[in-house]
This record gives sequence, C-alpha cells and structure tokens, in this order.
Amino acid sequence: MIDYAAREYTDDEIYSILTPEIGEWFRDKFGTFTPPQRYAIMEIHRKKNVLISSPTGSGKTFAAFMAAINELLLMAKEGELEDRIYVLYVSPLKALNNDIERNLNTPLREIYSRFDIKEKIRVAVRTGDTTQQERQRQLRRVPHILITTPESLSILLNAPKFSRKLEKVRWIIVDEIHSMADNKRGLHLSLSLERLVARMEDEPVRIGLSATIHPMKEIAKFLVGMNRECLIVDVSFIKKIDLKVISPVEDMIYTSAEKTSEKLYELLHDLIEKHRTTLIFTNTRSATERVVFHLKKRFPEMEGKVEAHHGSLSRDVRLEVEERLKRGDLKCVVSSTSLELGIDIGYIDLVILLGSPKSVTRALQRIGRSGHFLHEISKGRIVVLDRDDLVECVVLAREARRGKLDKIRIPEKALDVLAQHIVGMAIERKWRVDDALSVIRKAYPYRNLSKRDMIKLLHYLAGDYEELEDRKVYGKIWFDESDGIFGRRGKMVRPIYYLNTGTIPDEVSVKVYTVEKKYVGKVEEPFAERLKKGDIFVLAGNTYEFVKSKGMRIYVIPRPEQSPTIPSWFSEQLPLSFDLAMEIGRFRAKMEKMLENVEKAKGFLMKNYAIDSTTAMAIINYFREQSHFVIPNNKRIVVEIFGLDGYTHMVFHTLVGRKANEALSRIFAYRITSRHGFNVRLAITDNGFAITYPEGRKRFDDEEILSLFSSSGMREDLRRALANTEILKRRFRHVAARSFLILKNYLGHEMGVERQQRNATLLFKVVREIDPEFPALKETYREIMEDSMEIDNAEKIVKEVEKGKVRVVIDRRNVPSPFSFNIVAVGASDVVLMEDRKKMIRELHKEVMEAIKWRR
Amino acid sequence: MEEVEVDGIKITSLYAAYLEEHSTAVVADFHIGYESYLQHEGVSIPRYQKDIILKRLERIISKYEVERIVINGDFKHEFGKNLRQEWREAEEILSFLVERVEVVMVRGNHDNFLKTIASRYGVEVRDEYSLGNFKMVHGHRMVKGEGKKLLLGHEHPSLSIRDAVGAMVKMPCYLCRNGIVVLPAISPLATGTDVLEGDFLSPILKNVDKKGMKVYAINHDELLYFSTIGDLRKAI
Repeated sequence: MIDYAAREYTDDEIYSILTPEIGEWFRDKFGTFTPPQRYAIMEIHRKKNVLISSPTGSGKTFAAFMAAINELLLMAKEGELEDRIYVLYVSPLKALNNDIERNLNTPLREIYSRFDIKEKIRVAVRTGDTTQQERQRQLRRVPHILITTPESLSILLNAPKFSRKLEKVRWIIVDEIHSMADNKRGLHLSLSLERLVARMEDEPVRIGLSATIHPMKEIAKFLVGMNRECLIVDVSFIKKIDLKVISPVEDMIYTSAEKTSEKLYELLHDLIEKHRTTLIFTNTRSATERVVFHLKKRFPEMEGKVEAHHGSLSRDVRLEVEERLKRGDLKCVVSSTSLELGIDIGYIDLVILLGSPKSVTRALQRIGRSGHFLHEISKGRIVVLDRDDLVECVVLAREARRGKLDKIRIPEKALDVLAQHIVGMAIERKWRVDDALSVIRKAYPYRNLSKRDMIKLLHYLAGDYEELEDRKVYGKIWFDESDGIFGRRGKMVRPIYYLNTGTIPDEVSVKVYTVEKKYVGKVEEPFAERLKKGDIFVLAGNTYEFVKSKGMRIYVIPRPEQSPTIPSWFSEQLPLSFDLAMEIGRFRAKMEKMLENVEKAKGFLMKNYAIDSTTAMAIINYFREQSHFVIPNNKRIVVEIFGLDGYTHMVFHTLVGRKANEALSRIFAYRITSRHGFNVRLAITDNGFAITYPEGRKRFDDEEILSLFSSSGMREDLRRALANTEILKRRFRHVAARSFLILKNYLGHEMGVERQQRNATLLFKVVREIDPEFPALKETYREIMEDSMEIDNAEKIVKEVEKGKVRVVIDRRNVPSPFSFNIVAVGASDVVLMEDRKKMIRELHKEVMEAIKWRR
Repeated sequence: MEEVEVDGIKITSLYAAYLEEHSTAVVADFHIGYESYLQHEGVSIPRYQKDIILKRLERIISKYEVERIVINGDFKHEFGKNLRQEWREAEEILSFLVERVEVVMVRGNHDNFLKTIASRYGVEVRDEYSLGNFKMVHGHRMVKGEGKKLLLGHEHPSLSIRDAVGAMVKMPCYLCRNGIVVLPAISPLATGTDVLEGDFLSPILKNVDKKGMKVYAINHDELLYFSTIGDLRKAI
C-alpha cells in the first residue's frame, strides 16, 4: 500500500522517542520540528518506509536521518555498536563531502562534545574517487553510516569482503530520488537495492528524499519496490512562490539583435543589483558561458562577482564557485543544470530563468533554489526573448502557480542495465533463473520483465550465438537452459564488471573555433567526424561552414545567411513536456476566441496570467498576425505547405511536446519516403515539425496528407524510420557499452569514444543481420522510442484525429505563417532515408552525375 | 550494369576483377579473423565475415566459371592468441576454393604465418603474380610494373556521399586509371575509408594523379560509374 502520511506529530511526541542527548541538542539548536520532520520521524522510527518531498531549507535531511541516528546513539551509549554498516545513504551527487560534513558530522560532533558517549558513530564516504588506502581503512574500521553513489553501490555489492558488512543495513536513504527515477541511473539503483535486500534476513527501512515531482505514488513505488508499503510525506507546497515572466524589450520582432542583447544584460544587471544573491539558469552550457562573459564585459564591476557553474567545468572549479557562493563572495552565479540538484549553495534570493524551462516541474525545482528558509518566498523571473517563448512561459508560470506538475515517466525493462546486474549476480554465486527473476521483478521498473526476455538475455551474455568452443571467449556467464541455472564464467568477468559498470555514456566534445580562432562552442565527437569540407551546420542557433579539423578542434566560417546542409543530430536543448504543450494548445484556443475584442483579451491575460499590458499586447499581436493564416490549437492540427529556397516545406503544427514530435515526425517522414520513394529532411521543434524535400519531387494532395494520420502500425513505422539514422547508431553505442558488448575498459586499456563508435557501428551492422531481436538492439529501439521520444503520446494524438476529436486543416500558401518561423528556422534535425537502399543509391547516383555535368 | 571492362579487365559487382582470357578472378583483402581482433579490443562481435565471403566467392566462381582465383593480399587480419577459430575459418575458405579452382596467393602486409596454412593446401604464397599482360600485387610495397597492367588491393576504397537532404551512404568501389585497377575489399567489415579524403596508402600509387582516378561503386548487385575523384570533389 502506498499512502499519504496522515499525522503531523507534536514536538512532545517526537521528543518522547529520542534519547535525551539528541533531544536536548535538537531543542537547543532548533527549538521545534519542521513539517517534514513532524510527518516523517515517528513513522521511520516505527520502521515504515517513507518518501519525503519538501522544499530546500525545510530540514529534510534531519527528517530522514533523525530516527536512525537516534538508534545508533542508543547503541553507542551502551557500547553495542557492531562493526558493520547500519545506514546506507545513496546520492547521485559525487561531491558529497561538504554536505555530509554539515548535515552529519557537525551535529554528531556537537552531541559528542556535550555528552559523554562511550562509542563513536563512524561516517565514511565511498565514491569512485575514494583511494585504495581509504577503502582498506573502511574495511578495518567499518563505518556505521556509509555515504555512496549508485555506481559505487553496485560495485560494493560484488566486493567479496566489504559486501558482507552491508548485509544487515537497517536504513537505506536515497537522496535526490527525483533526479534518478526517470533515467537509467535510477533503474540501475533499483536493481542494486533489490540485490542487496535479497541477501538480507530483515527488510531495511527505505527513506527517499525528493524535490517537487509528480506523481508521488510512482516515485514511492520506485523507492520501495513491489509489494512493500510506503508513506508519502509531501510538503512541497508549503513554500510560497512569486513567479513572473518578463521581457527586456517591448517589441520582440522589430528590435534588432544587438539592441535586444543590450537590453537583456541591462535587465539582468538591474535584477542582480536589487538582490543579494542571484542564481541564473540557462538551458545550455554554452549559453551559461556567454551570459557570464557579457555580464563581465558590459559591467566591469561584476568582475569577480559573477561566475559560471556547469558540468563541463572541472570539479575543483565548481567546488570553488560553490564555496564562494556560500561565503557570500558572489553576487551572481550562472548555471545550466548542475545547480538544479540540492548542492548546498547558501543564500539565494532570486532565481532567473533565461528562456523557457520547458516543464513546470523543472521551473519549480529551479525556482525552489531561492529563499533558503521555509518561511521565505521562492522568487523566480522567467526572461523571454521571442514570442513562442513568451506564450509558452506565460502558460507555464500559471501552471506553476497552480501547482500543476508534468508527469514523469519511469523507463521500464531496460535490458542493458539488467545485463550488468545479471553479470554482477553471476559473480556473486550460481542462480536458478526463477530465483533471479523474482529478485529482479521486485524492482518496480522490472516488475513486468518477461521470462522470455530474461532467457534471451542470459543466452546472449553466455555468448550462445557463437559455436560452442568460442563461448569461453565471448561469454561473460555460463547458462544451462535445461537446468535453468546460470553463473560466472572465468576470472576475467570480475574486473570487467568493476571497470565497466555504470549507465552514463562517455561523450567527448570537440571545440569549434572560427578560422580567426574565436571560440564558438562544442559539438560531439561523432558529429565532428562526419563533417566534410563545405558542410553547413547549426550550432547554438547560428550556421557555420566546416573548414577543417585539427585534433580535438574544428574550424569554421560563420555563414549566417545559409541554410544547413547537414542535420545536427545532437541537440542539448530541453524538450517541451507533453502536458505543458497540451496546456498551450488550450491557451491558443482561448486566445483565438477572444481576438475580436482586444481590450477584453488584454484584461483576461493580465488578470489570469499575471502579466503587464505590454506583455499581454505582445501575445495578442502575435495571435492576430497568425489569424491571417490558421491558428493551430488543442483541437486543430494545421499542416502548412509552402515553397522556400528551392525546397517544399510541409509544416505540421502538432503541439504535443518535443518528444512526441520526434516520434510523429519520423513516422510521417517514413510513410512519405516509403510510399513515394525519396529521402526527406526533418526539422523538429517543441511546437511542431517540418518535412522538407527539393521542390518538384512531389505535390501531395489533401487526401495523401490526411492519410498520414493513421494509428495503425505507428511503432513499426518508427522502428523502420530509425533503422538508418545517426541517432540509432549513437544510441546503440551507449547501449552496447552498458550491456558489456563493448568494453570501455578492458585488459588494462581504455577505448576512446571515437573507437567505441567505430566498433559499435560494425557491431550494429552485424547483430541486426544475425538477430533483429538481439537484446542490445531491442533495448536501443526501446530507449529511443520510449525514453527519448514519446511514441505513446504520438499514438494518442493520432487516435484523437481518427476519432474526430482533433481536426486536421491543410493550408497551402506562398509564405510561412508567423507560427511557422521558428519551425523552419531550425533547418535540419535529422533525415529519414528510403528503406530501399538500392533504389536510394541509384537516385543519389543520378543526382551526383547531374551535378557533375553542370560543373563541367 | 553488373560489370564493366576497363583495360581488358572486367570489374564486377561481385567484389572481383575477372581476366577473361585467363579464366581468372582476382579478389583482395579478406581480413579473416577481424572479429577476433575486435574481441581483443573488448568488443563482443559475433563471427560474421566467413559465411558472407564464402557466398561471394561461390557466386564469382559459378557466374564466370573461373578456373583460377588470385587472392591479392591480406587473406587474414591478424592471428592473435586465440588461433583456432581464425585457422579454422582460413582453412574452410581455402579448402572450399582448392576443391573448385586453382588458388594463387599474393602476400599482403597482414599475411605473416600464412605460408604454413597455405602449404597444407598446396598453395604457394608469392610476393606478386603475373598472367600475360597483367600483374597482381597487394600494393603495400613498391614493385616494378614492367609495362603490365596492375591489379592492386590494400586501399579498401569506398565512396561516401551525401544527398540533397543530407542523407549519407557509403559504398565499396573500384578505382581505375591508365592500366591500374584498385580492388574493393571483399571483407564486409573492413570496408575502408572515403576515396574523396586523404592520399593513397600504397607507394605504387604515390605518383598517380588521384583526381583522375575513375570511380565504380558497388550498389548491391550493380556497378555505378561515378566519374572521376576530381569531378566528384568539385560536384559535392
């Protein structure tokens, strides 16, 4: 049963269960308990699993630890502490030492200095950075509280001696669980926890800590696994928010880029000046650097007062920024995503979001970084620069104020993550398949794993696609299907597991410079490798021509007027969520109805969306311009067709969020290429997508376009559309590495990303021919279709069209409508190739020979 | 088209050049055991090449009724520590061939230890091999042409091009010019690098004008003429 914690306990009740020492210390230090502590401590004390969601500064770390520390102190007083781990704390953050110092060691030191307690409670950190010496020490003097990461935990499970110290853990605390539940790191952790619990006699108490997230019940199930109870403590809305959308300029179309930029930095500077400490979030790392650069350049007094903080910076640099922030040395820090998680950064009184955060949940999590104390208001400002962003953020801000979060989704049955754990389990001991399966199925994301998939995976890990005598070499486990037993094969497997476990793929980026040696940004290595002289590509919204590459740098010439010739497969942009997209669709419908009466519309916007009249007018004018064409909304999909620069563009205004658009666009493109026999290019955005091809290839009549909206065979069509794309090859590399098919670290040498990709491409070619159901291949498709894209939401919208609930309107014009500008401007996101390779190459041959003839 | 005659040499979509007057097919760059090499790098790749190569050889033999096959270098990739599988595959291919045709082996840069296995099948390994007006040589070392037409391997030529919407395809290809034919690799894995980029590897081709080389690419069961490297570089 998953339930909400119903009782808020009083101070007296809580103090009554605490040992006098900790009680006295707490009373002196804090006086009274915070809401999450009132709900959680007693329940944890009663051995209930608890998931806590509460704002920064609400004392949730104590809420989680208090019951456990209380018990440990009781034992310490009696001298009963054993040499084993009692509390296992898992956090996705690697740089934990500082937080632990503050949250655990300081309180413990204070208690120990005031009272005479027989034994010391030992706390230790174990991550990938822990030295060999320290590891040895931990084995000799076993910590009572172990702080670790999901990756290190999975390795610990297979550490012959140390893993035994984990077998009687009584409390497992998972911090920042919201940042793991929707990805493979979380899946990996869920299996580690089940593997650990399977070896224990008594079930430990599980405690999860989460930021604002929805639905909480799903996260609770993710935390505790199948058939276990959990109480949810959700006090995330006790903190008030003050959220507004602002624009630096009044006119978003005719203000020049320079002027906009100037106004933007004036606005930022002004806001920073008016507050004590400001945290600015941008959506990309490159934008983070740009903002810091311009703030310093335009306002010299900001030098030394503003810094960047993002994942590409070294750990030392990041730590230093965090320290300076805490000391109050900085007025402002600019971050991409790295400060979203709960690193302690001290006092922040304003959060600025530059550009749309794309989901309500993310907006609230980011804004929640301000107002460190419970009674303070979280203050956030979203700064928008274009009209699509404006509409999106105005709707988003309203949803955030109403507390309407987007749904997160927990990926299911990822076979690559499972492969790692099966190897880990095999190293542990021999397993009966059914026993292993029942352990695995206790993990919530694997509850529906079929025995068939499990057997198939075992066969592949055993190298059973090879002739018998080669299995020694290929197999990582042995598997006897008739007896239903599997186990470890050879001595090499343990080091393979230690060195290659984990879920985060290696990426190497290549720096992009202009030929004048001006830094432009970064592209990923596999993309850089495919560039040919003269190729034009998009980077951070600008177009560049590739000139040459040298080592880990490439050189380009800015070509602002030209359209890209090759798609950029790797985009670091955040995707608009499905739920928010739906809400924007409803907003469009409302706006359309009110357009005739501008005053009324203005009043409505100002009242319901908390914006000023200039901003309201900007929205109204945008809609009025679009009304000369057709306004797409939640009940009406518009397909615009027009010619531009020698290409035909079909723009589909499907407001279903970017991930569903990623799926839908490729399905439609596949249907076009397979029916009509030519390749097409795709431009995909949050608000729709464009299918583009050289003019004159084909004129589609209305019926042909409407026939694209058919819900039958969508999954199969998407699978086929993906078959020859770059994204599939790249993701296959990730999955192959996670499945131990490509060992990044083997026999003492490391394989670089470039080599991993080359090998993955070969492997891909081979396995897809040998067995289309090969687990790594199957998982690659699943990951793309379900995690990176949203095939189910794409299906949903097409079914709505079939049922007549959503109408499709085809609009043929000579020019693109205002709503189309941003879609067409994307240029190229991907290409979908004809399935008939032979015919495709023939066409290509014709094209090339034609081009050669003209050149002569 | 399935084949083209260049300087008296028939190049075919079957990864083989055919010398009609000698009833001889010339193939190059098998790289048997490439999978094992990858294995040692830490890639669990299933065996793949042997069956495909056998099928290709069978088609060459039956279609042109050849009496002799010249393996123009790099029959194997690398005999690493796990010899057995590579030896078995090499033997399987060799025995398949000697049952049907006369086999001539020309040494390539990957071919150490080849003699032992070849001699078991009565096959001699040579540095080069001539038939009338034609000379077969792998290409990793300089040789004298003696006015003969040269058939080379070693380069693994392939052509990568991109179409109007940005789609990229890669095809194995032949390169031909003035009595020189460079063969594509028969190996389905070691497909090589783009002929439009960089220089030749072979010292024999060092002074050959690359731009003037004609490109014939294999598209499944047909050959497509793509003009010269120079024209292609200009046009795309």
